[in-house]
Amino acid sequence: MTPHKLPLRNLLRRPGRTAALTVLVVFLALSLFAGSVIVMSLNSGLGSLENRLGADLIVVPATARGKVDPEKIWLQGTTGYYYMSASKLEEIRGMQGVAQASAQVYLASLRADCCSMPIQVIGFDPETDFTIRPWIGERLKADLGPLEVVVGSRVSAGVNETIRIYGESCLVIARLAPTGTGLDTAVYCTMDTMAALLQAARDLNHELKIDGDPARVVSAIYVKAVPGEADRLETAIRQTRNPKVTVIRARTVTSDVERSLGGVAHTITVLIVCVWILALILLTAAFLLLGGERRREFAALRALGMSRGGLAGIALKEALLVSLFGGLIGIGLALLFLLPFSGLIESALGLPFLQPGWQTMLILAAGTLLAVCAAGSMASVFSARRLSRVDISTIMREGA
Amino acid sequence: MKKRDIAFGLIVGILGLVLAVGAQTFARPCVHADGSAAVCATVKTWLTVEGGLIAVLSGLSMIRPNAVTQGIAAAGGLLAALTPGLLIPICKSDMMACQRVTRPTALVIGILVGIVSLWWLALTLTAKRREARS
Amino acid sequence: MSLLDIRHVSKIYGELRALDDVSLKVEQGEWVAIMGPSGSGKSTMMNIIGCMDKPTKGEVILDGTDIARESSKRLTDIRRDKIGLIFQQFHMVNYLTAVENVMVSQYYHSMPDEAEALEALDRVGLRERARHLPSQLSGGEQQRVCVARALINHPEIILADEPTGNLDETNENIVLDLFRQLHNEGTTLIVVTHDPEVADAAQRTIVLEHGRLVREVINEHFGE
Repeated sequence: MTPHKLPLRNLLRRPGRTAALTVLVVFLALSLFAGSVIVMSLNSGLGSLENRLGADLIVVPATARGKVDPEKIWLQGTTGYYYMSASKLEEIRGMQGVAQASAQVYLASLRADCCSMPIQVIGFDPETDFTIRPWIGERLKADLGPLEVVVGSRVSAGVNETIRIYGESCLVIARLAPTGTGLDTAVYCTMDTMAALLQAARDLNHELKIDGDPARVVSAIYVKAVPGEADRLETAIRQTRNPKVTVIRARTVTSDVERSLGGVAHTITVLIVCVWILALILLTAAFLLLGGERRREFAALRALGMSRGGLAGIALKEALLVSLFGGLIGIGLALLFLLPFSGLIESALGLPFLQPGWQTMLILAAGTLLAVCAAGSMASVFSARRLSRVDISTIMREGA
Repeated sequence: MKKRDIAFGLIVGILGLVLAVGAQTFARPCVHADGSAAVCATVKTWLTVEGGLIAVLSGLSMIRPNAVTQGIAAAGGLLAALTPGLLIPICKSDMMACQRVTRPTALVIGILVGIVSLWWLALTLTAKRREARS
Repeated sequence: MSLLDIRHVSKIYGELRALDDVSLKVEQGEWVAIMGPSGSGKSTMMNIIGCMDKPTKGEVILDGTDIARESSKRLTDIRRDKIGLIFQQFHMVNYLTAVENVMVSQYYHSMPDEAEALEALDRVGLRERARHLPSQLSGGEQQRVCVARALINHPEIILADEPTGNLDETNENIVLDLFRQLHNEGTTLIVVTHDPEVADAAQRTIVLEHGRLVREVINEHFGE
């Protein structure tokens, strides 16, 4: 038995008191760690959305919004489709100020059975595409063949498995890295595969509202403007007819998300600050109150020869042990909720949500633990100071 | 009844009840549009039974602390955590309710029940050993 | 040279003279009782001898060192090395067992040694109760643990403040018997008490009143 063991022994012998202090620290760690992970996930989600919508303008048919908001397809994984003639792509490509333009075609699969949701299928042109290809390129070096697809990270089918879309079996040849956006729930294929799928849907009498050849339609045209030309180009495209189109500024989508994200982040930060202020006040009060009960014990140790520093050390060590224990529980609980419920959090927030990798999580956990230990020690400083200055002679004479 | 047993019993019991009630309400697996049972409907029944069992065992162990009932409660927690997906199949799609809500709920509650019950069990065994020694 | 030489010591708190020009010598191996009514300055005297307080005036020479001039840190060292303290309220660390309470005291002096601590408890008749917490011990047993804790480091002086104040007659006799043994082994004992029976057990009794040493009585029946 040495005095180094006193803090732990005291904590173990008073489980009720230790549990109460630990719960306060758990709140500190839980709020800080979970809040930081959520804010960081939202920021990463926004970053990946900006990359995936890597165009200045996105042109969709004017009738699109009546069916489904294109933003919902990109952000929340809502399925939907709308079409316009592929000639629109040629028209836009011919316009002044266009640096790059590439089309995508959308199709929503049917719900295969009770256990699946409809999937958004996105066809793109590998020759001209500049938004999906770089993303796919991270996982797939070869070109996509006929009826071959690449799936988003949240699509349940694995590599080399087949997905049946309108009766056509499509082979999954790669799985994309998560983006935290609605694009994770989509399936990607070439325009040829898409044309075959559209034809298959038509053959099954699925109402697509396509006039003419399914190989000659597009759903969205991604346009990269010559620098400084975006505003003028937007106006010019808006004025085109047959069909009329809606022009969406990618930056508007991301800045809308950024605004919502700012709101959520602000709320989380306010919550964290409130929890911390309250918990720190309670912790400081608890340490002071409990310290008052222990004046005699500390006076006895002082009488036995412990130095003032030694007494303060015991009080601080106890606070540090509680902080470390509570911090680990808090982080563990946060992880236990955040990891399995990330899908639910994402759909509840309706914002891109990309959880950081384990290295970042580890750094965040270490930072949280450090902050909680510092806070716990700070909260016990007053108590430690008071206990280290106990007047042995007075306390020793006090009645039982 | 010791204060410690009441605290542990309440925690485990409430977790068990949340699991049982949750499987029928906020964390219930997918249902058909017509209300008939989906593939994962069996999970609902199992989670309700497991949650109820955990609650009953914790109540019993609160009244009379017993290492066996605490051990079974811990095993029940583990079973509940593994039920959706591993022991009983659920929908594959990541976007379905059983994947988004039922499975995480069972996993989190199951792990918490397991940890708390094992802790309780360890304390009960230590107390018994100490009693035997003195 | 005396082990303890108190020369013209005063302790003044504002208007109050808790000790007023007190002088006293205690020889090595002597057993001295300090008596007096409440407020006579007994506790102040004990605090000063026990290095827990400093006098306002005068010198307190303990084993050749004037403790009135020493720093607080040095006083802690002297208390740890030379003095064994026994209190009326026992003041045990309540979450440590009897043997651990003794070992904590050992730690500040040298190195904790469980066998030696158990031996000390054996000496006060408590080896069987070594693994019990203070709450599981009676008042008399707690005081005996405190005696074991005080003597474990073989101090020059054992300073006891009302050591039997909270004990019944049986336990009072046990503690006094322990003091007799310690005295026979050559330990210097200073016992602050208001109980004449406890004072009678000592070789010499000092009586304080209003902070002044008013009487000194040699116990002629000592040792009988």
